[in-house]
Amino acid sequence: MSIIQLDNLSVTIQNTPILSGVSLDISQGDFVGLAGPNGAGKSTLIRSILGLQPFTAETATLFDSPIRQFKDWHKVGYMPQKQTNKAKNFPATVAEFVLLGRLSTKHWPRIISAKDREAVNNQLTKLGIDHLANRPLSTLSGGQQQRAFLAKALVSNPELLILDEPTNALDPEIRSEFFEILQDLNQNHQVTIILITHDTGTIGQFANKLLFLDTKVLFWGDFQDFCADPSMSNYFGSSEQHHICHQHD
Amino acid sequence: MINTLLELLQYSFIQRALIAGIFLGLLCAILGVFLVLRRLSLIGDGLAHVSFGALALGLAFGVYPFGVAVPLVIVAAIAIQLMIRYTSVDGDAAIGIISATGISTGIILASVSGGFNIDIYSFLFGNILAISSLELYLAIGLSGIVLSTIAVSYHELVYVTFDEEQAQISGINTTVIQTLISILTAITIVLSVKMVGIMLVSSLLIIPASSALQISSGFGETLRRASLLSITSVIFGIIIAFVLDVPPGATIVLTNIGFFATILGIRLISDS
Repeated sequence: MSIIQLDNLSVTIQNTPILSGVSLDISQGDFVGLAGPNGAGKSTLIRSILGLQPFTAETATLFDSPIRQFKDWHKVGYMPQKQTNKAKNFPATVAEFVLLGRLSTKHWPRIISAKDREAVNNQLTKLGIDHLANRPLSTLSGGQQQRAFLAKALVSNPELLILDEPTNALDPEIRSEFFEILQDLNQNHQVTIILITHDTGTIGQFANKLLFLDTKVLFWGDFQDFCADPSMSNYFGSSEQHHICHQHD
Repeated sequence: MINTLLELLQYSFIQRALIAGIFLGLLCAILGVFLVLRRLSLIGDGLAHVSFGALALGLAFGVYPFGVAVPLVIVAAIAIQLMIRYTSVDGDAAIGIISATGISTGIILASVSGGFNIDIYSFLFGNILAISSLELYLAIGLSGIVLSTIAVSYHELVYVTFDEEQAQISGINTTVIQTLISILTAITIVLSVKMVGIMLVSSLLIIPASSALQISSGFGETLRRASLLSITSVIFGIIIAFVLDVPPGATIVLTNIGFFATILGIRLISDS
């Protein structure tokens, strides 16, 4: 089943081309590592897929529905960058915050039911933060906050999970735990994952596909193919290519 | 002391002031939390200035002033939102531009028309003790509509306040929610002008919310505490103003500031 299909997607902002000619097809169960230098258009691509960024494309579908007409947002969990700054000044308990993730499963008037509260409790329990339910979001540690953000993204039981540099501010041990949670979701619950990361040395341990962008697609395909691709050796240099592939089991 | 209070409650104008004050205090506190968190605190000030122009327009043409002010201030609130959303003008600047338009229109109308200086004075500084029965019913009715709307759209409002884009990805029509906030704010401002006056109305939105944010851990708790502080300030403010024979609007605001300073002081001491 195709989760995302893009054919020749381009984005221009104030007459500056940000992305051009992006074509890809992400299938159910894929774990895609999305990498590239700063300004490569990674976040812009994700914003386009989420309908937040105007684009041109021959085809752009999400769950086989044109992105511009897509309505089933409960199928998509999104964990954006820089939520920590917003959480710092927002007076919400963890449970209140995660509950917001249930709104995508409803239409107006979005009345919260006992079932929604139960879903929140279950999600917090699954991620091991149920004891933090009544704690203010702003008082959590970095690792606890990331779990709360993930709980919000997952509480609608999405089939596609998109994460924008979620492990940037985490120490290595917590980062590793976070990746294990993602791996479990992908392998045992068939959740399709797109993970934007600069951590190319680690992503190969978990992702089966790599999308490398630099305003256009430099590489899209299986990780193994990336490692064996001589044109990538020319682009990255064999040392950098080895670094990316080295961690890949 | 209790006898004095009971005696006060015998007066029908005190009863009207307290009932209207409780409704409007609740309204301002709840809406204020959303506005302060969205960094739109000064929209209250801007719209109050627009209401000055709109009230002057009503007085100049002999039309019931609130009947003119409510729609015009709603239009101004939506204009601010549109400017922020669709132009490169910042929120502060948009509020300033609309605010200046309102107050300068009011000054010119007041100057050209003459004759309604006393009425304009009452709107500038407010006097909840002079609230009429019609104004009381208007305050209760519109407060009921605004509070019901907030209750029905509560989670959407919270989500848009946290992050507009994430709310949009959840299928929430954020343009509708923004417009809703603008309309509710406009109605609240016009209603509150009678209570504390154009000069001080924004403080009713900002201060209880800012006080509650110092001491609350959740969103629901923030709304409850802001409401409690606001209603308490209104009740104390009205009683103190009557007993000391000082302007009630300014007394309500100073009571609010007293709570804020106390809470901030305790917080700073306990954090140090």
